[in-house]
Amino acid sequence: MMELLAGAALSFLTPWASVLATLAALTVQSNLLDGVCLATGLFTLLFAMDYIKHRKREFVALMTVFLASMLLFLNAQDWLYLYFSWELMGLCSYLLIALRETEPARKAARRALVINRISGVAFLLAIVLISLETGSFSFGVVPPTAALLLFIAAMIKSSQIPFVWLPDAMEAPTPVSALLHSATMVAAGPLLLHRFQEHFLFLSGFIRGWAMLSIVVASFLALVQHNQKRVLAYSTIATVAFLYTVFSSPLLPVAFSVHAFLKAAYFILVGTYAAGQGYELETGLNRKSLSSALSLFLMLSLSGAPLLGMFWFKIGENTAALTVFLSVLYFTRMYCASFSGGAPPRKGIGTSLALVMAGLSVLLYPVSVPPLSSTVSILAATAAGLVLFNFKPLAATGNALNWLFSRKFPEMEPPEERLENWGYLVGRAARHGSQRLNRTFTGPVGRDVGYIAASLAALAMGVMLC
Amino acid sequence: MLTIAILVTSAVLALYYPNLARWSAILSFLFVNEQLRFEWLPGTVFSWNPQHPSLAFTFALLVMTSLVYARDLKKSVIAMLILFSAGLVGFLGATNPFELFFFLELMLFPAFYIILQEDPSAAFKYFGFMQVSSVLVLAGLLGEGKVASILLTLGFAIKMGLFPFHSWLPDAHSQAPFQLSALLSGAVVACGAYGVFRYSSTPELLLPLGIISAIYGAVGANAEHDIKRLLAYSTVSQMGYAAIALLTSREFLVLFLIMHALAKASLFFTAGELIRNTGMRIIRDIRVDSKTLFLTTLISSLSLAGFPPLLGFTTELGILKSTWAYSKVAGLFFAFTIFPTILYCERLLSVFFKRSGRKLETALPLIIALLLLPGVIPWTSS
Repeated sequence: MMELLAGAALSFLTPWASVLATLAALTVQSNLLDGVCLATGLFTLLFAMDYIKHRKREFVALMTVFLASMLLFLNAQDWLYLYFSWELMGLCSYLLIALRETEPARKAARRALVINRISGVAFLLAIVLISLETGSFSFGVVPPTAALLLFIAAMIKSSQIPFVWLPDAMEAPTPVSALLHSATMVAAGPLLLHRFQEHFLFLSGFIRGWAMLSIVVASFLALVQHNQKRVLAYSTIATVAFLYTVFSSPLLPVAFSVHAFLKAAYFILVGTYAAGQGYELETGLNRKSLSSALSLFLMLSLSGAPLLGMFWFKIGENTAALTVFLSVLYFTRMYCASFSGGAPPRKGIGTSLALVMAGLSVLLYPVSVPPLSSTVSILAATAAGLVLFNFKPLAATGNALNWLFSRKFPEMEPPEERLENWGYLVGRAARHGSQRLNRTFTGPVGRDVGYIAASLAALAMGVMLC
Repeated sequence: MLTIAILVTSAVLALYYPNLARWSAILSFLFVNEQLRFEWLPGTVFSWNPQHPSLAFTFALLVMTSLVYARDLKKSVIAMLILFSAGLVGFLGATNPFELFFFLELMLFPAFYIILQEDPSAAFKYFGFMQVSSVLVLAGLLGEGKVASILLTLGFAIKMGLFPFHSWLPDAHSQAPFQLSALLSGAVVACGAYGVFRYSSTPELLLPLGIISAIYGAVGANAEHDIKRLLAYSTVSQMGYAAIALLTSREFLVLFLIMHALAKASLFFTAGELIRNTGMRIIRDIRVDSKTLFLTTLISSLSLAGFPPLLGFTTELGILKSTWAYSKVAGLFFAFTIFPTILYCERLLSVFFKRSGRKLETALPLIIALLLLPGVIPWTSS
């Protein structure tokens, strides 16, 4: 960890110092998770060298600090250190988004920081409860209330529905999205639950229910996005939600690793071929190219098509067919929109890096003989997804959910104000209501309203406490 | 005590030789640890004996920085600033009610004079509130029993700027020159909390008042556009924490006040630098490119927000723990009040994330902010 911090400091002299520091840290790791995080970090740092032009030194240094805090998270021996790394990761995420120095990036950064801070306060309250129960911050007994708070903190950090901050965070440069906002930080929640799984078992029904909701909603939202990075962000939410459903499985660290490699590779690949077009969905690229083949492999692996990637963790799950079907839908839509013309995709160091990471993910498969019934159902789900990706009613459901759950409205044309577009109408009403509420509490009159409301609350609390 | 004598002398000197007076005042803090006790009339013992030297050192540091910054001010304002700091240092070591009252008034009049130069209405508002509070404090100290205790707490609550009595605070703190606002916001309101801590038992009323102040100040700070008014509202919010700490966890109060003094003063110095160099007070319009000021703002505002491993985290964790142990409802409310701080802290940070900002580097505020880092030590050793 120290070599990483030193590398971060030295990268103000030359950005390559962070790459060397990460490499040095990687060579001495024997732990799977540490190794995977550092390897992902190394690849994204190499990609960042090529990709980032504005404020390269600051970006690279902060990404290295982030890697150090992720290592701290993985190796913490104390609730306080765990909390420290938890907040530090959120802070790094904020700084890395805001460093882009554009107006949308600043708004997205604020959103990320504020929502991560809610998660941080929940975590803080949890460790306070733990320390009041046991008298120290060492690992051991976790009271049920604290476990619930930790779980909520993890869900918020992972940007699960309805605490969605991840798609807006895609304003950050693509190497940052690849490292923090897909591979490591947002997937830290399942690792936390896995590490202390015996304390969360009593919640497993709740965890599974919330995660399933998140998978379904996020998948439908991914289906109607018009930006490649936002599709990948929603797919990350869905996949991390899937990791929550298998949090007590011994294979979870492996699933995390495979997902980290695949998702970072996909981001790096998209950052190579679509950055020039501003990540528009329709790029009109040639289907007969290495980038096309690689994205086909990555998308099938991420959705869990038979024998590829997430398949090995989805077999045996009841809901495997559904999750595979949904993710094949939005990935196929994205693939078909990107590779639909004749222009040769841009190649660069990113293509090779993505190729290597895709290869590394294959090495991690926990290969066994898959049960036939589940393989067949997943195969059928994949085929159905490949065929049905353009089916209108699915997209309509996605639109309705988008108006309900996504803050980013202007990306879409407003549909006609008819009764069947109920999602749009409800979403618009909610948005107007929230704007009015905001104006009430920040305007000049609102100050007085706030004053009166606060006095009333004071009165009520005084009565309650005395 | 030598400090106070030198300070008063320097204040007179400042009318003629302001730079010499500034430096003699700064150097006078070398003697801040000296105690004193002398009889100036038979039967009248005048003594100065700080119970918490750490707080005195923190305030001394702030006053020194503020005097370094005071170069641009008028002679009379420098004199008043030095006199004000004499009152501030004196207050911490006062040993009887009359001394306390005397030093409170010694803080009040110079501050009133300085604010009067900038904005008369804010100055008179400040003067009125402070005068009422000083009289209440004196009455409380001289009286006995429950009524006296309530009067005393009420007086100090006005000084802290707690919720129903806060309206003078944003006006006075934002209209004063930044050299004084740093002291007003960092040290004087802390004197209010410290006064309750040392001289009074705490009535339960402070708990709801504190929670309301914490939330109300944070919401107000988030709604402000003026950078100094934002910081002033944040003081209201932080003093809410101090009020909660007064009731539930007295052992963390002094550490919390030190944290708040360092963080808030460095933020006010930063704001002063920003305003002086860009000519803007509205946060939206300020754009600078500065590594040192960014680091200062990052450390100080995150410390206010209670981010680990800064000093603010250590104190807020302690207060949260004892508040939860005191009453679960209060603990829950306190946890809710921690969160909104980040809303206005982020607005402060956003100043530095704009392209084509003006280059501006200055290390003085950073030195104060770096003192917040030792928050690492208490929680690594626990």
